[in-house]
Amino acid sequence: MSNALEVQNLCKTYSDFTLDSVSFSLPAGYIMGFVGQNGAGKTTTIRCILNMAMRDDGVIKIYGLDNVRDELAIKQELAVVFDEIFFVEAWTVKEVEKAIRGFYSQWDSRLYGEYIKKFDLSPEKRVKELSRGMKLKLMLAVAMSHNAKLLILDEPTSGLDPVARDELLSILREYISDGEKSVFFSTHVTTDLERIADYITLIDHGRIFYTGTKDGLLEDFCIVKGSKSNLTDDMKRKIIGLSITSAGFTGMLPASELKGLPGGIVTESPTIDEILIHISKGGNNL
Amino acid sequence: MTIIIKNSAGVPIYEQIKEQVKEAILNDEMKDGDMLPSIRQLAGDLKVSVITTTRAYAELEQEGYIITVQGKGCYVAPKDNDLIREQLLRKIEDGFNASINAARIAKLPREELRQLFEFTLEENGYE
Amino acid sequence: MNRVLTAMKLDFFTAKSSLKLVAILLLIGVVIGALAHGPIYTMIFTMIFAVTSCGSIFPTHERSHSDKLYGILPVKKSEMIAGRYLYALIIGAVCTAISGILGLALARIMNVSLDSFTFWATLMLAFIYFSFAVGVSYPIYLKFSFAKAYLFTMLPMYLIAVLILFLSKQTSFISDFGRLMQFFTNNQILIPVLGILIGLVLLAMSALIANLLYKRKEI
Repeated sequence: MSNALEVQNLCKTYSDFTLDSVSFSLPAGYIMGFVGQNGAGKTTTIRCILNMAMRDDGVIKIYGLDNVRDELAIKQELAVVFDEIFFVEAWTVKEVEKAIRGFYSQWDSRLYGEYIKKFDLSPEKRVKELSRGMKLKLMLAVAMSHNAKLLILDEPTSGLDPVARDELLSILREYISDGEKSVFFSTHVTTDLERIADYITLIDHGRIFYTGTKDGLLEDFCIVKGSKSNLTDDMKRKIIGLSITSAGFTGMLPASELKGLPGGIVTESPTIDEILIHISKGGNNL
Repeated sequence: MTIIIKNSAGVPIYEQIKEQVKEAILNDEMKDGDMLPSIRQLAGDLKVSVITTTRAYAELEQEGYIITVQGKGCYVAPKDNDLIREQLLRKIEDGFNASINAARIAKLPREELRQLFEFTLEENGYE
Repeated sequence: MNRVLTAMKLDFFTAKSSLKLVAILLLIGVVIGALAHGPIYTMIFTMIFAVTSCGSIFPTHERSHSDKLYGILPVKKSEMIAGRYLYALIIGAVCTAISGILGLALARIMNVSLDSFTFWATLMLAFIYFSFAVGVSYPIYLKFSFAKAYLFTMLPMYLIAVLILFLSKQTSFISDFGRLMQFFTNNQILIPVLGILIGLVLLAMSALIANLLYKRKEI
């Protein structure tokens, strides 16, 4: 099965931030969540994928094509949604189509019209008059009207209420239901990922902490809690994001480390949130 | 077929799906040759990852409960096959054990228990 | 070529909203020309309107953050630039035509004399001024943000336009170019030919420079 998106050893250095050997792959037909704190490198990675920022090193392939050499061919089949709308404010919903349809050889006007109707967007309304949720829907309508095989979204749910977020997830689920299209979705709202992602790539301070299936991530790590007296030096070294209070300690361990634990330690499955929080607190083994 | 996922249960989602599909098959709610929803359809309906449903179906196939036909879909395996048979036999045994324990408490003589069994067979129209 | 044309159309769509506002400049030009009994003022003002229309695309994109479009759409940077310059060229050509028509119309309506030499010289100088202004400002706007670059590019352009207006009033300034004037008066057909040529060369050079500057820019 081919990969919709392949990033190998992506490196990009800015004065105050560096992406260091970022690598991950998204098999075609699935949804990958790209998660990390604010400032972890999600947007920079996406800008490198789109060649909006020029990478210093590494290889990026979309459906097997190189993202620089075959940029134009790739962008025909690529759709992008950002957290901020990127159409001229004064354009009407109808004018948006007129302005950009000429660039896409597979633009489907009928489909655009259907999405506009489905999303309740009035064709005469100007972009600047749309609410946050409607702006997102407009970007989605455009994204899904030219037969794109890979949909990239950068923080699409920021600023949306839970109802609007749920709507977005339904739209995405329907989008990939034929098994041919793929979605790459960056966010720090982890509850969305828990409900929809097949794969997850977790980025922390410019480095990949984990990339693989979402189920795998949740099985690979475990929250551990216990009394201070049970805390051995060995554990102190291995526990990620260790926190010691008067009531005891909590932290996170890779599942492989659970074998030698003393009794009396409580273990439980982590949420993606907890994983993010624990790795941001840091640990000796990171 | 109804499948209900409990998010807060400690049981992984793919396990829950597996168990409930198994139950439906063993309860005869799903009959031989019935088609199951596709992996993607189920994932969409339950709002879980496609990988999760893929895994559940893969393990169900391995355990002999369902069969996947390329290009067509997933179907309930014939229930007289060995693996299902074993599961059903275990279910029968469990049922017997429960009945015997109840009989013991009621201090029912062995012969009466056997008669009760024959009577129930008749009532159920068992061939 | 197709993509260049589509990029140019995109520019027209982008400029559409601000073109209406900038059209007020055109009106002002007509009024000034009428009040001062100088059709050449109107002609020059028309070209100032043209320069402003050409520049307006940049702040529109900046305000709407729609320059991100160029990172998303399947179009090369060089094609986007080519489209932008084509847009400017069309605006310049159309405005030059409007300028000429308005100048002649005003002269006739107000019964002011406008000899052929003055007409063509003004028209072509205005077109060259337009090409120069766009030629200087476009690469700067492409490389830097409009907000930062505006003061350093547009203001001098407007100052130059005022200077030209002022100088053209000094008839002695014009007669100092005695021999040059004589030559052109005798060969008036050369005025538009040379004027258009110079304008196009300026724009072409500017496009090349813009391309070089924009290549490494991150969107």
